[in-house]
Amino acid sequence: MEKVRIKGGQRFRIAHGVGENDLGVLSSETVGFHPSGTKDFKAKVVVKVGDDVAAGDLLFFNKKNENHRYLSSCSGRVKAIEYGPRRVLEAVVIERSGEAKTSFGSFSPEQVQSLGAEATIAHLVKTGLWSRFLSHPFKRIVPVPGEPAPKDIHGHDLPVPSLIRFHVSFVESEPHLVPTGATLEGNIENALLGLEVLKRTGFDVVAGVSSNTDSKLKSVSGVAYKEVDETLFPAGSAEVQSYFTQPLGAGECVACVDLETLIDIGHVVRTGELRDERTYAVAGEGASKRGHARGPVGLPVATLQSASGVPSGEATSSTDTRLVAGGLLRGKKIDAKHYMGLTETTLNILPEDRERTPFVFFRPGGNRLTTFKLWTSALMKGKEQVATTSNNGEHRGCVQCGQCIKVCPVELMPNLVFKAALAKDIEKMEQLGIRDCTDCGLCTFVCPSKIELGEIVESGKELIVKEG
Amino acid sequence: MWKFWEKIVDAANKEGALFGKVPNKALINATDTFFRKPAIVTANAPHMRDATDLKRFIFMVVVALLPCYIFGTYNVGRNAYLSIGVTDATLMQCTLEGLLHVLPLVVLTYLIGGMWEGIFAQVRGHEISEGFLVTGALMPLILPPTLPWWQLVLGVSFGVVIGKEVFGGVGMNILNPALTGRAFLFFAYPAQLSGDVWVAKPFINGANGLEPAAWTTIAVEKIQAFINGKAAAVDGYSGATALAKAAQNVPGVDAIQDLHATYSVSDMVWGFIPGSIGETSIACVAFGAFFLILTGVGSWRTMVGVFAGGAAMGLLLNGFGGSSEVNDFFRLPWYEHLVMGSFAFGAVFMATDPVSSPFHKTSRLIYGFLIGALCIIIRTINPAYPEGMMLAILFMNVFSPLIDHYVVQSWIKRRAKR
Repeated sequence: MEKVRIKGGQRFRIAHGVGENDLGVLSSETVGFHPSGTKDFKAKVVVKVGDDVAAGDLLFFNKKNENHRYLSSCSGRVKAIEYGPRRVLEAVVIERSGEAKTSFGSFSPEQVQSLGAEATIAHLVKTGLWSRFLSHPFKRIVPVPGEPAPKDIHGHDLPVPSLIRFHVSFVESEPHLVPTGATLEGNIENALLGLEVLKRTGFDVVAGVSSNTDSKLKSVSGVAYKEVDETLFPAGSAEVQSYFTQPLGAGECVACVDLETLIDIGHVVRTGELRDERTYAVAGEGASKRGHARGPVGLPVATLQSASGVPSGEATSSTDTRLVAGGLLRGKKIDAKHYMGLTETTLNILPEDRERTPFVFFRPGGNRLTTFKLWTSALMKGKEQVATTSNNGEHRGCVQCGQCIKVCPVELMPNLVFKAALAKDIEKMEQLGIRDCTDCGLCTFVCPSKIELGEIVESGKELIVKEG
Repeated sequence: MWKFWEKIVDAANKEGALFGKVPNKALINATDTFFRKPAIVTANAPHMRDATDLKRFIFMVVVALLPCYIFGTYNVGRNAYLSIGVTDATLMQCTLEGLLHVLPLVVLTYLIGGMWEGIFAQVRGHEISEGFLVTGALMPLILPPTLPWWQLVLGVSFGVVIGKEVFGGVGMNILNPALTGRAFLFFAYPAQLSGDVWVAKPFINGANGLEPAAWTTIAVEKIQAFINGKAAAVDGYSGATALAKAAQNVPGVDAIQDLHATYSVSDMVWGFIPGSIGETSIACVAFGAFFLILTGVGSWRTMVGVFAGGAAMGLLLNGFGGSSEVNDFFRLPWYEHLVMGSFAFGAVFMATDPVSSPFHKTSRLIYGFLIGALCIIIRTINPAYPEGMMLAILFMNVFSPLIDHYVVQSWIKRRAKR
C-alpha cells in the first residue's frame, strides 16, 4: 500500500468536535430532498404537491441533462415544494407514510461480477446514483460516458471532460465531521459491494485509507490504495488523494465518490431498493450535546438541532448562531428551516463571534487557533483550541507572507493563482495549476490579510468552465 | 470604559460627523480596530479564520526592533558624550540623552507618516493599513541621529507617498518604503548622510561635565537643531562611521589600519560605534533575526542569502586585495564587512520585507545573495557611496519580480513534465 506524504496541510486540534457520543436514531415525519447545491443542477420537479410517491420514484431531474436524476428514498405524500431566490429548488418536502417501494432488481455478489460496464453505468444512472459523482476539477456531475456534449448559447458543443478513474476516501480529516467509523458501522458489506460495482464500470478505482480503516476495506483486489495520515487536513479529501495518485491531463477528470454514496450503491445493488439512512452528526460550540446519530435521508435541520440539546422551539438560525452543514472549512451555511443534504450530514452549531476583544494583538494568545508561530498557542501543539466565526481582522492587500504556499496540500502557489483569477487570465491560471486546487479552504483560513482566496479561485474555475 | 469609547466611535461614524459631508471613518475606525478586534465574522466557508491578522504580523517586527531601539538610544547618548570628552556618563544619563535625540525622530516619523496614511485612506475610502507601524519603526533606525528634523519630514513623506501610496498602498509597493525615504534623503542631502560626522551634540551639556542645561537652553538648541541638524564638530574626536573610515582614500594612510585603530571588531559587534541609530549593534540585530526567524515573520532564506553573498564577495575581494595598490578597502577581512555599517540590519529587517522581496523560497535565496554581493561591491568599488546596503536592497527590490518570474516559470515547466 502506497503511503502518501503531503507537505502542506494542517493538523487541527479543535474543541467541540463530534466525538464518540452516539445520539441514537433520529426520526422525522417530514423529510426534504434537494440537489445539495450541486453546480449546474437546474431542477425540474416532476411531482406535484399532494402526489403520493413510493421510495424510488423520480422527484426531479436536471433540465440540462436528464441523466441527472433524483429519486425519493422514502414513500409518502408530497407536502410542499420549496423554492429559494431565482427559483432554485430548496426542497421537495415529503410527509412520510406507507411502505411503497420501487425495486430496481437485486444482484448477488456473483451476479455483480458478471455485470458489463455499460449495464453497470446504466443501472447507476437509473437509480440516480451517478448524479452524485462529482468531478474533480470543477465539481460538476461527472458526464456519463457516451452522453452528448452540452451546448453553449451559440449551439456549439462544449468540451466534455473524460473520466479516467474513481476516487473513494475512507478517511475524514476535516475537523467537525461525521467520523467515517460511525458511517461505516454496519455498512461495511455495502461499501465493499459498492467498490465492486465501481470496478465493474471499467474505470480504475482508487481508495484512500488510513491506519484506522477497517482491514476488510483495505484488501479489495483491483482497487489501488493510498494510505494517508488522517490527522492531517485535508489528507482525507479524495481530490487531494487524486493529486498524489497521478496528475490529470488536459480534459481529464476523476469522479469523487462520497462514502454515503458508496454505501448507497452497495445497498441498491444488493437489495434493489434505495437506502433511506444517513449517519448524521452534530458538533460545534453552540451544541450542548455532540455526537453522531442515524436518521432518514433529508432529515430536517431542526430535528438534528433538537437532538443536540437546543430546544426545537428556538431552533431557528439567528444572527447569534450560525448553522453549518458540513465541516468548518468546507461546509455551507444552512437555515434551520431546511433539510440536510445527501452528502453534507454534519450540522455544526457555531455562535457568531463578534466579540471585540481589547488589545488582541498585544496579547500572548495562548488560546488562539493559528497556523503561524506568532502566538504562544503555537507552542502548545496538543492543546485543543476553540474555533470561532470571527474574521480576526479586516481585509488588507496581499503582503506575500507565503503562508498559503506553505499550507496548500497540492503544492500550488495560491498567492499567484488568486491574482491570476482576479485578472481573469485563464492561461495563467491553467499554468499555475488551478485545476489541481481541491477547494480545501486552507489558504483562505491562514491568510493574515483576510483575502477570500477560495472564493476568488472558485470564480476563476467557473470562468474556465464557462469559457470552455 | 469601552462603552464610552464605543459612543465616540459611533458618533464619529455617523455620516459627516466631523467635517460636514466628508466621511471620516478611516481614522476613527483605524483607531478603533487598533484597540479592539473588529466585529467582522466570516461570510462563508471556511467558517473559521486564523487568529493572525496583519496587525499581529507587523507588530512582531516592531517587537524584534525593540532591542535595536533600546541600545540605539543608549549609544546615541554615549557617543554624544564621548564627542565632548565625557567618558564617565552613566547608563541612565546616556539613555536620557539618547532619548532626547531619538524620541523626537520617532514621534515625528509616526506623525507625518500617519498623516499621509490617513489622507490616502480617506481619499481612497479604505481602512488605514497597519503597514506603516513597521515602516515608521524602521525609518528612524536607519537615519543618523544628527539628521535635521525637516529633512526627516521630507524623507518620511517621500517614503510613504512615493515609495508606497502611489502604488496603491500596503502590499502593492515595489520598493521598501523606509529605504525609499532614506534614499531620497541620501541623494538630496548628501552632507547629512555621508557618514562623516554622525555623532549628535549633546543637549545636556553644562559647564561642569554632565550637569543638565537649563530647559530654555535645550529649547533653543532644539530649534536650532530643527533648522541645522545637530552635527557636533569637536576637536580631537571623529564622529566618522566605521565605513567612512574604511573607505577613506588619504595618501599615506592605510585605511584598514586606521579603522582598526579607532574601532575594534568587538566594538562593531556590540555596537559602541557611531552610525545610524539602530544599525550599530550586531548583537541586537541578531536578537531581531532570531525572533523573526522563530516567529516565521522574516525569511531565514533571505537573511542567509545576504550573509552568504556578502561573505562570498568579501572573500573574492580579499583575494585581489593583497596586490591592490588602489583600494585599501579590498583588504578588509570579509567577516568585518558583515558586521560593519548597516549590512546586518539591512539583511535582517530590510531585505526580508515580504512585500518588496520575492515570495518564492528559491528566489529569496537568490535575491539575498545578490543583495549581499552587490552591497560589498558598492561599498568597496564605488567611492561615492561608503555604504551600499540601501542601494543594494532597493536595486534588488526592483529585480525581485523578475527573479520570481523565472523561478515560477521553471516551476511551471517542472510541473508540466510530471
